[in-house]
Amino acid sequence: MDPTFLIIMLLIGLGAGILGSLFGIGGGLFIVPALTLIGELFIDGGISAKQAAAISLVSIIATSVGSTVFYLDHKVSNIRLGLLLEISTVIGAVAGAVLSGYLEDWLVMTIFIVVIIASATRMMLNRKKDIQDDEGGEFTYHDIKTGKDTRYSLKNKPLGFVTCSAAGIISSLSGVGGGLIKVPIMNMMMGVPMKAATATSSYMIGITAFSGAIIYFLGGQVLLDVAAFTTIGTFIGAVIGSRISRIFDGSSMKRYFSILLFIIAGLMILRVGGVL
Amino acid sequence: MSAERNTSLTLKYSLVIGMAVVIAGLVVYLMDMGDEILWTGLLFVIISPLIGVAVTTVSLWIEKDYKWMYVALVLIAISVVGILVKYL
Repeated sequence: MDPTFLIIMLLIGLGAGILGSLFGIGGGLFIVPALTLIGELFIDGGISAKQAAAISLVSIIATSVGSTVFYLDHKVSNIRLGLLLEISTVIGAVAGAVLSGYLEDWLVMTIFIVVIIASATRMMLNRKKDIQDDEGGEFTYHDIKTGKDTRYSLKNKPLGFVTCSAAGIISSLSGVGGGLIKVPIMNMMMGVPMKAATATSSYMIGITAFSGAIIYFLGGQVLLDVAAFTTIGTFIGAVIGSRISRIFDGSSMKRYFSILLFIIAGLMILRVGGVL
Repeated sequence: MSAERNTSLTLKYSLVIGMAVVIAGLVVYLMDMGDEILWTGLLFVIISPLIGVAVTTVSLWIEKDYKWMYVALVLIAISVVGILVKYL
């Protein structure tokens, strides 16, 4: 393998890891096109979509685990909520795999784009208000920036559960991680503070990625050297990104997350249009 | 220790060991001496979330937090079914 390509993938992994750990997303949306587009320049026959997805899933696990360690040590992640919502995500992902033969790709992508633009708009409009301290709250999260503990209770649990299943379906059909949808669901629908929502999503994406990655890996579809360099990059990125998160408060995190959603919606439109 | 602390420690050690084996495996691989170590390191990285959920489940059982322990068990069961559905 060309060393230049491996170094490029390490650097792209680094960027994806920083963004992924900051915002609770996997970063596959950046890694998969990079692998397929840049891979064509360095490898005869390029890297197939399946191989790119396989490498992306392995690197997402490094992002997830790398950032979750920091967020758990600082009492930001809510692993109980993560376990609960992960059940609905896995159910959705399996349903998505079954439905994939019946739905057109363009329809799925259109639904996905509409959902993330709607989420981004709502978050942008409500960006100044994050979840306030609830004295009788079941859970507590520690804000690293302010040093304060915020108690909160989960709202609309059944609706959140069902909506996360829908996120799992869309994620499974579109091949894009569910963190983009689950963070707004946790924050706007279930009353989880923004930073706790992104940290919990970081924890969840690793579990989601595991079930796909292990199948690709045991099936021999992971290019070991490319996966290793990309994974080292995302791991370092996750360590950096989770530490950068301490400089943001909940409302600025909401603003940046909504901007990220708009950018990703733009990238998705380019993908649907065949540009990416 | 709490479920959070146990999970954090488990994830930390599994990832650090996994990444160390990946780096060692890369060196060996780039010297054309086989890819077995690299394969093992990546496998370790891939299974670390599962190890984390398993440790969380046991920790919740020790804490007698049965409601969330059952949630974790359901997740493990559904993940196994999901993998089987995808694999088959």
